[in-house]
Amino acid sequence: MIDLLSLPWLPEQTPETAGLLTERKALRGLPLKQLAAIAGRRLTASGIRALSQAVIFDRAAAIAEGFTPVRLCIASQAMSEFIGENLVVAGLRFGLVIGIVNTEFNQLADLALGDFFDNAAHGDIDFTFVGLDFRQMGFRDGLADDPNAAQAEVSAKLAWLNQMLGGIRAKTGAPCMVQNLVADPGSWVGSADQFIAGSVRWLCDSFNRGLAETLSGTPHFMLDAAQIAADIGLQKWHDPGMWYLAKLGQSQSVMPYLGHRMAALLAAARGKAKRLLILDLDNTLWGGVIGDDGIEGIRIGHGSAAGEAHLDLQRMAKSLRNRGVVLAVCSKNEDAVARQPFNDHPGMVLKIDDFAAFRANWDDKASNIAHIARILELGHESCVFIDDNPAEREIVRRNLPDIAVPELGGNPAEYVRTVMAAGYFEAITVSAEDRRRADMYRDNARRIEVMEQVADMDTYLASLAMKISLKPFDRAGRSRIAQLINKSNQYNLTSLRYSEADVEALEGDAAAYTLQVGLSDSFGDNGMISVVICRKQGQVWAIDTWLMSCRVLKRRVEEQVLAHLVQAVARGGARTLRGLFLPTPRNGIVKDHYQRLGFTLQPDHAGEGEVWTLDIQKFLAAGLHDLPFDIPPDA
Amino acid sequence: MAMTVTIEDIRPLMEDVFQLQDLSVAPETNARDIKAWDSLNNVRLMLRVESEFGVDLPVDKVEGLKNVGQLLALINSLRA
Repeated sequence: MIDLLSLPWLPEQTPETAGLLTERKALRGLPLKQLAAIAGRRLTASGIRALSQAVIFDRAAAIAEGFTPVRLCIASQAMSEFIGENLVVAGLRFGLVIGIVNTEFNQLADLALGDFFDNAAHGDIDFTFVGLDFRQMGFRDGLADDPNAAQAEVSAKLAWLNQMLGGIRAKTGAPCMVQNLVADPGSWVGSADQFIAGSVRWLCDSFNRGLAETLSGTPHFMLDAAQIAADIGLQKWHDPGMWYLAKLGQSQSVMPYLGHRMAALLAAARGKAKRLLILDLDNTLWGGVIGDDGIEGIRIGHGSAAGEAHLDLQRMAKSLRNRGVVLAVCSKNEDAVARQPFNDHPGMVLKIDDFAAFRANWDDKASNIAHIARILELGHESCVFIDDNPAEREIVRRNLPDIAVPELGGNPAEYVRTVMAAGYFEAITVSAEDRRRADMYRDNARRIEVMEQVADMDTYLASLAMKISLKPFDRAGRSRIAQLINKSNQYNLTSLRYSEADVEALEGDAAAYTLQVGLSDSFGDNGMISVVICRKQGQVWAIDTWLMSCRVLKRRVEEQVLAHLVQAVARGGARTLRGLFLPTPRNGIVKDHYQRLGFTLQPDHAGEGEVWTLDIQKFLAAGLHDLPFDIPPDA
Repeated sequence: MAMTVTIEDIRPLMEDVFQLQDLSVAPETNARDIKAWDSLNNVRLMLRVESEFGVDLPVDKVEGLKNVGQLLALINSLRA
């Protein structure tokens, strides 16, 4: 069986990366991409420490190198110093550069109510990790014969935690990641602990359930340490000796795995979770080789142990798809032969329709994977590739270093556990939009196919019969708006990030004009695809945020949005629309956005980025373009 | 029976934990002699000793340790 604590999905170091690790001093100053390549392979404890020391937290430098900076304050009821180094290394695997602000052991109240965050060195926090430990919670003894008192005790602790979280949020303006309680490995009575109110088991479980309810709908989110500890075993999680000696909350051997899961969660909170799962076929999605064994010979579904194991991998992929992960196939096969099991084998859970892209041919896999990412308009850092063949995996890693390619081990029974433990597809919440996303990508890939056949763009756009809806921010759209604001990197003029609470505040803000834009067409519903925030500043409306999903590029959506904006500005009695463009390594796609829309560059602008303006009267006098959209009346 | 753990076996661990090169270590060496031997690195050292030499350090024995020589004696008694 695999040992999750060894991070079995990570490949061994290559001779080059191993060489860099032995020259510890040489690690400092290496580009982040190179440090990430080392972090993406197996490390010893001292390798983790050395690598973490080579990562310097510098927001601007991180962004310039295509990474996402995250400054994390660590506040734990246990000694937390060792989490930091593991978290910094794991962060690199998810494109995060994590800067750690350590706090004194068990000083939550000082953070929430004291002056800790008044110190400039403790400012600029993106998240606070709140690590709870049942040994420090101070649950009262002797509650076991009194269910009401036990319930009251749990409620009191939850109220205390809420006060802590509220205080930290007020001081940092940032959400908390809260680690729930991991119960003692021992027990009081035995199996009966589960239903004796007031036993340690019961208190921890009740607290954790209450915590999940408390956090739901807030900007804070939970690190489910109870589940992580259960996955690896409580006996391995706890190290009583090190608790007594040094107040280590868990065994040192757990740290790399725990750090990895924490980094995965932070990545999800920053919109960096993986979005595309590319699957090999032979001996991955089924047992055997379809070209040799034929439809009768491959093993999938019930009746064979291997068939059941491969079926579970299909189920995993299907359930990921149901929450928005896009699926694709990349296989060395004849296309018609590769499609056969999906159409004709009764044991298959996955169907052709589940895939947004299907590449079965004899070209090398790296080229095929790059092609899939391109037609789905997803960056390589959003992709995971799963293949049972170690040689194919290593070739893809070398050619496409930003694609995540997990080791799988030699046993199909362990594929699901190995892939899921890697935390690629963590999420903070799952929205209805997420559930439809895989369909949207598939439909879009089909649009691209149609577009390749239609000669001129206008005919194509007319054939799409697009319906656009433009509405101010509202409660129904809030969570998706916040998701887009935090995830969109490419078609995003300013890349300014706002939390869900910020978005909520904008809903009632008379000094702001907001738009959420939805688009559907003959291939399906694209959902919400664009977000605009304008600040009304007298005669000038300044566009603070303008972003759009790359799925709907070249559909003239931005022109329709502008037409709508201009009319709103005119109605509001202002004269000028002002746009700001803040370049990043990722948003080159919008460098001509304002120019194409008829804005004028303001050469005198001294601050960061470019400022563009549009004279509303002149724009309206020129007449609005005829755009290929049907605008249903506001519901 | 396991081989006796000597100063030469523990020195590379200490160099790694304290991030120092060519560390001179004697049985009398203690935390006051090495600047990097703070409480955090002491925990690191105990954890490394446990994993490297396959021993489980009992809390009551660790607390009383005065120097490297006593640590070695403890390790060897646990491996005997």
